Amino acid sequence: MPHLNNIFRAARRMVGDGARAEDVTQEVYLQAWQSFHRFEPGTNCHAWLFKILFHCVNHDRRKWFRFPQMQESEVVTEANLVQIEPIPERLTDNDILVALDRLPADYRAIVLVVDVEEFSYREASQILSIPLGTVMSRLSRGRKLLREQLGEVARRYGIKGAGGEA
Amino acid sequence: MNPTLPNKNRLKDAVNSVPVPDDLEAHLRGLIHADKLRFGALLRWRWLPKLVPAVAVAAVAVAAVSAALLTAYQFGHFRLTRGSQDAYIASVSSHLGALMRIGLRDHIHCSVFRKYPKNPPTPEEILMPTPERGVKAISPQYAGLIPIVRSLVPENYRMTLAHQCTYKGREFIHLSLMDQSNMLSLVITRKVDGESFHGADMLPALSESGIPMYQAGVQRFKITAFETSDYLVYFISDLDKQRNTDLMLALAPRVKEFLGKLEL
Repeated sequence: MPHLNNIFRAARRMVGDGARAEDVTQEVYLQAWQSFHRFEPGTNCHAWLFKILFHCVNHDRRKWFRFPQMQESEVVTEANLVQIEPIPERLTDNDILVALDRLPADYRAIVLVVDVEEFSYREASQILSIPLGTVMSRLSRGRKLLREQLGEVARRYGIKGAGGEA
Repeated sequence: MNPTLPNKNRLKDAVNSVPVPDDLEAHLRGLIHADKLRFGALLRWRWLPKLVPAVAVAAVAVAAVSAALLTAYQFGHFRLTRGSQDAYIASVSSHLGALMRIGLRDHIHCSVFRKYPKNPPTPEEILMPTPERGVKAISPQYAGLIPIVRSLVPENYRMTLAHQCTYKGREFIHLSLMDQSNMLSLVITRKVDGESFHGADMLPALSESGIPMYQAGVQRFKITAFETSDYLVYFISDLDKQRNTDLMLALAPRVKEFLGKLEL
């Protein structure tokens, strides 16, 4: 089953719970199966599945929570779009995941799509159904928040060069 | 934590370190298989909604064509057999008095059911003999009616036939004209057994140059008629009543004069 592991792990990060992540993953593949006639052969199946994933995640979020909508400035400069700061190597995977999970959902989504799944900005715009400018501004803000979270953890560990000093 | 991995992949590695349940793929395959059975039937018919607009358009078209055909049939068109044509003539003319019925029957028989060529016949062609049974070219005796009618009827009406025909055992002199949408006939027949509009207790609707005229109408047909000593003369058209009357008022004196010469 194509991209199953990526879909499940992204769902796990977005809904925060293993059982709900399995439910969302099932929904993704059922929807993909039922609307497979709409998939255009030769296009990006990975991106198509992720678009369905975020549709299902949003539906799941609306079902369980009432998240306030993010408001952010669309103004962003290329200077803000630097790659994610180097993560101190002594941090554990769990430390990183906890920091990622603390990001607001919209920022978490863009970091997952661009930095983990390595989709282009344009693909991310289509997957998340947001304008390209919003992709860039959310990504910049998401990376900054993640860096701050990880810097805080690293400082607690007494790791030198953590956070703003990295 | 793997200290040998480069920093830029740490986030990706952390996310990918989360184990995926072993049975997830098998479970998903089972779900999709079950859904395939349920959804498969729907899937086979998923093209059906795309047909709905086409089916609706086709239904409307069929209904419109059916209504048009039915109307045309009721108006006498598409009566293809002699029997159905006679039945139509009988049903329409049954609403008229006996003398008015005479002219209308011949008009419908010769003008309505006839298939006309696209190009009207020339003055020479219109005088040529016709191979149709019960129809013959207009005799020289009555040929003088043709220029009279041509001169008094507006130019946009083309003369499509000028002949002598027999319908239900009675002989008629029949001149027919038509434009893009209307058809009109001058139908003349000799009186039989003392027939007379006056004798049939009919009241004239109007009078022109001392000629009493009688009028009737049924369905789309308007009839204005007068009589001479020997002839019954009908002007039948699908024009409105006023235009039908106006044309007969223009024709009547000259036609009466022409027939009067034959009666001497």
